[in-house]
Amino acid sequence: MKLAVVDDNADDAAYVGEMLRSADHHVETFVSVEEFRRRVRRHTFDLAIFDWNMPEMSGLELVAWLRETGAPTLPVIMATARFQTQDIATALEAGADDYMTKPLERELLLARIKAVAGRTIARLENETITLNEVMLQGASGQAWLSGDEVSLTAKEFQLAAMLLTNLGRPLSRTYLLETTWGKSPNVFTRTLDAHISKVRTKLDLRPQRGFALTTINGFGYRLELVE
Amino acid sequence: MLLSVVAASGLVMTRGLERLDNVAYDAMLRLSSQKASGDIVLVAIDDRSLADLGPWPWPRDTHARLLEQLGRARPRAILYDVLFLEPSPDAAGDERLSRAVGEGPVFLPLSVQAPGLNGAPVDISRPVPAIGGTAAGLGQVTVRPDDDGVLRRVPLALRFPDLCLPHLAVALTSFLKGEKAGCAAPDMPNLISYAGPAGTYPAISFSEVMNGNVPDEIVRNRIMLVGATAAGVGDYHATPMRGREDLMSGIEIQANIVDALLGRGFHQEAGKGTTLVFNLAPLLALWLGFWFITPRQGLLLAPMLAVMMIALATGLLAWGGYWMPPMAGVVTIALFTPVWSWRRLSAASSYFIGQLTRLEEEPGVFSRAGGAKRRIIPADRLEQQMELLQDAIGQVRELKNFIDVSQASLPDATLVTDTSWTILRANSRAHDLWRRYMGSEATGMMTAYLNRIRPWIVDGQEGFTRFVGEMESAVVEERECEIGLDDGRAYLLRVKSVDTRFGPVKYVIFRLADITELRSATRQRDMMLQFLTHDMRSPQVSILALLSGEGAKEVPEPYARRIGACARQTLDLAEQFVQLARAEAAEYDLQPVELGDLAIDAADQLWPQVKAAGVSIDVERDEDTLLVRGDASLLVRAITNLAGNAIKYNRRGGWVRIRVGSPDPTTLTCAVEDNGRGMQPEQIEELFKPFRRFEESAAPADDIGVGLGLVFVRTVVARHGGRIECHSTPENGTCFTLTLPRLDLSLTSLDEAV
Repeated sequence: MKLAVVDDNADDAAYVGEMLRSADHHVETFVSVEEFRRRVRRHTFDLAIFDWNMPEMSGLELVAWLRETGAPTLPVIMATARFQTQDIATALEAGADDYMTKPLERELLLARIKAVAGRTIARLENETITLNEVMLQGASGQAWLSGDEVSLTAKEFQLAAMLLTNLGRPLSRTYLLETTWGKSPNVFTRTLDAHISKVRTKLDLRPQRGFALTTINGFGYRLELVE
Repeated sequence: MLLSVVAASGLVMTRGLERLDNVAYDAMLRLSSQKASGDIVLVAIDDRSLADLGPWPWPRDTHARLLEQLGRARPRAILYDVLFLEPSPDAAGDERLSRAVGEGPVFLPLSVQAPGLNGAPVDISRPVPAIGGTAAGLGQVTVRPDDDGVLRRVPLALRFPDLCLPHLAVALTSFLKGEKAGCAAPDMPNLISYAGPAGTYPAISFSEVMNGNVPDEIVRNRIMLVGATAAGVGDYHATPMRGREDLMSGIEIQANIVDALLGRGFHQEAGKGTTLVFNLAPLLALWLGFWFITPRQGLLLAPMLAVMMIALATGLLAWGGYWMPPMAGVVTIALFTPVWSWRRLSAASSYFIGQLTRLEEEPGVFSRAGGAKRRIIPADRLEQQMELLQDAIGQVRELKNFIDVSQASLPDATLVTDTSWTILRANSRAHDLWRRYMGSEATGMMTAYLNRIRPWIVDGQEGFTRFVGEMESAVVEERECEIGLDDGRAYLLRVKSVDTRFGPVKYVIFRLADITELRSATRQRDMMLQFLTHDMRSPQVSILALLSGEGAKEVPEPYARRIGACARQTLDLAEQFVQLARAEAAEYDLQPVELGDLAIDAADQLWPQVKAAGVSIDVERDEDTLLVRGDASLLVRAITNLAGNAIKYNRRGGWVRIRVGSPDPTTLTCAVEDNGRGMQPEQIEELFKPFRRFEESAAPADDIGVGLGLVFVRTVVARHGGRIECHSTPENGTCFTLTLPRLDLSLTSLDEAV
């Protein structure tokens, strides 16, 4: 993949660039936002990684610029030293596809890049998906855990399918509510939490089975695989 | 009131005050005497006549001669009030009289006895046919004095089962009017409208007539009434007119009746219904009056009403000929005005006492030193009450003074408005503030000022807008918003509406606290947090990047590892600091969250550490939905901190268990338990003290993080209204238990139902 790394700290930029090159990605690093903005107009990247605090323009503003004028579909991961939950939610709401707190870990970064690349959120149609002995059959709406059928309500199945087909990708509450309950859902916040909790219990989406379901406070949920 | 109405009605219906009414009637009648008709002349069989013509009874011849004498002068009619019930021995005299009676229209009385003898309903004695046969008409002359012997009414007809007898005067007047004498006139007793006291009608002596001394013009065309007035012969009756001259002769009474029948009419007596209304109306007026006028005016109103009633009755009688007995109302007013006044006084007095007692029971602002002053010598009860009142008023004054002083010395600008948003009170600080920013004292309408400060609302704009809207409907309860002025000063505007216990009147209190200092402190803290979250961490991140990138080849491996560990520790500490600062200072995002879900989140987040440490982690949760109103990220972090410690200080193969439950309907618990190394009691005591480990140089730097982590947990739990407990046995394990208030399910059932 062709990746862009924008970070005003040259050491950090170089480090991330090296990390990604070692995974056979083609990487261009930018220490100046302006430089990146010029480049992105003429060149197509598959994904960009932005620092937050930069002198010319903050990562957030850069994402906003991208979404409006530059490259609306370019997937972006924010990577910054900020770690507070409200910062994460702010970045994701601003249009970043994912958010990572520095120091970055190689494997996690690669997994996240894989998850958000392409920028389209997958939907389970008629196919069947099997992961860590969790099986969802899109055609019938049935689910199995280690070969035993699990009874899920229609909404629970939808949520499970959304999570399992978008592994590693942060899914916003708004998106989950809209896809499961329909446009402008008149549903309380707790309702989604309660449904996710049911899905997690029924399908055993726990680290012991190789799943990590993370609550991104103020934003939504992310399901990813762990060892 | 009811009692007085019943009393008045009773008096009206039973005519209980008839005598009193009669006295009133008599007095009024005297005041309103009528004009006597000049057409009526009495011929009196007086003492002088008896002296001249011999003792009574006179021979019929004498009567005949008088009638002849009168007849020559051509009178209109003659009422001869002498009974001729049996034939006299002098038949010639009877015959002469009969002729004389036949000459002019002469009306003779008949005698009526009811009930009659031998069980007959009535005995009627008519004049002997020899005489009566030639009379123009006959009639009864029954008189019925009232209980007090006063003659006020006359029955114009007597009705018996098979006949009806008109009054003699009726017989006469009907004749004069050319009507048939009968019972057409109402038979109800009519009130005689006396023309005046006895002697009002001109009278001439019988013997004068006999002697021919009376000129014809006196008799011509007049109605002559002949009757006895002499002592022992004539009948005399008490009339309402008595007083000026004692009694009135029967013949003059007849004259009054004839006069009434001919022209001026009788007085009519009001029916009971009308009388009732007439008597109750002033009572009602008086009663209503008590609602609207002062007791003093009430005291005047009562006699005024009574006088008005009497005046009205007099007027009606004098000009309308209508008799309305007023005494029931007058007496009831006279009787009940004092009773009502007393009742009002006593009600006022007991209300007074009640209120004073309530005031006494009020939790006092001041020590009740006044109680000692109270007199021990028993004083007049009213005086005691007055003293109590004085005491109470003194206290109220003191209280007002206290309020004034308190408000003036409040540290913040404080204003009080009523529900129409007019400023009622403002302390000196409020005035200062207003002078500085509004250019005037704080008076007038609060709304005007609120609209002016709107552009400076920095926080709570939404709440403020809602508040201003609510002001219209006066339902504000409590609001606050922050105002940042252009000169850099910041104020917190807090609005609260107040009900007083004593009534629905609401006041609204506006408080403007100067938070300029506070805001600058907050700004500084925010800057420090910003520094810690980013600026301090960034170099550490760079160190780690350098070590794992190109630098890895330059720095020898053991150093690289140690430098990396130090950098990570610094990062960790900075993070702990920021989390703690946030737990302590920031506003929490409180939502209904499920504690079991949070525990699972925490356990799953710790998975890498669990795997690395080779321990197991379990979450035991209740089947129930265990909701707490909390900040999810802070609560998860609190559980993570506890469970993280439990993992870190455990043995390989050990276990960590998070148990979420609800010991009772109002509380939730989250216990984090391990079978690790455990702690000594004195260690537990030190646990929650931040920075404690700094003082002991021997402690590993790592423990500082632990200390901060636990302080964080305690802070978060405390700010959620919960508490934390720790039980630990060395070498056996530790158990931290968080207790939090459970969110009432009924508040969220709606939520769950969707």
